[in-house]
Amino acid sequence: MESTEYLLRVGGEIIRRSITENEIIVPDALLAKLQGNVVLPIRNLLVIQEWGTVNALFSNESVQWWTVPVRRIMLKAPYKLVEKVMVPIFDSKTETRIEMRWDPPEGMRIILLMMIQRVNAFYHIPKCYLYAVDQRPEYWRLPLPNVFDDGAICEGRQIRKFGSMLEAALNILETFDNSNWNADLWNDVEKTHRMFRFEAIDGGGFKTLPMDANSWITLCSKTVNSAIQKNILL
Amino acid sequence: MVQVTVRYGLDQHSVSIPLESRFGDLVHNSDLRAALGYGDNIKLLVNGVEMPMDAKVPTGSYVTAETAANSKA
Repeated sequence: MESTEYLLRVGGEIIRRSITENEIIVPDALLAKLQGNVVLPIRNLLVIQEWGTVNALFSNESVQWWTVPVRRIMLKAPYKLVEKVMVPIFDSKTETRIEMRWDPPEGMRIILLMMIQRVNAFYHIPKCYLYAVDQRPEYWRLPLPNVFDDGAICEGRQIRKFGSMLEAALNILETFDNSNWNADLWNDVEKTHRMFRFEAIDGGGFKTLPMDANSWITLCSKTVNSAIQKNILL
Repeated sequence: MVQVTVRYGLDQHSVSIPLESRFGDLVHNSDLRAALGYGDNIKLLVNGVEMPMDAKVPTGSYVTAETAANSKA
């Protein structure tokens, strides 16, 4: 197809431009190669009840990334009373485990970043990362055990395969909620006890107490892992 | 002295360090640690390549610090 355009340039110059368009048949293999590095960010992919709206990065590669908001952390661990405040003591072998629901302080956004890998017709999640996020955004490691310095979670689970990405993600969330937290990778007891504080409420149960710090950032450690964190979609 | 800029996340900080300084010295540099907030467990990259801790820091270097993956002891 041919078309002609006339351009009037500043200064009075008139230009005639002839355009010829031909459709080119692109081989599938070339098309696949061109799409190989294309990453498609999708916000509001789906809503997971009790968690929230999932954002995702999709690509032609076998690995996809989901960013899932975390509104609370269920801390199943032993606790002790310190000056009328219940705090977790992950290394206790004697205390009974109690499940406490911890609600993040205002201004702290927490996410789980899931690496979802396709293997043949199945999906599994080899790695999952937990980050607190500030406004800038920078990523922070919560003062919790079972989290590596780069934010990767050590859930102690067996990696299973699922028929869909959603099933794999729901399994991780269930594991995250129901796992026992232990003292592995617990490196700052004081900061943990200043952030994760509870008190008993009338009628049974416990509530999250405000943290013992002016800013939650002072209780966390910054985590920079660009190869992983570039896959976060806030 | 050698001028070097280190970036950690969105923050960066420049310091002057003695000639013959090694990348390992940057990990323990108190000015950098105070300004950038990193701990012992970091790796240092130049142009995306991880630098050995005993390598000399070239003058004018722009170094990116990243949190290294640790392992369960």
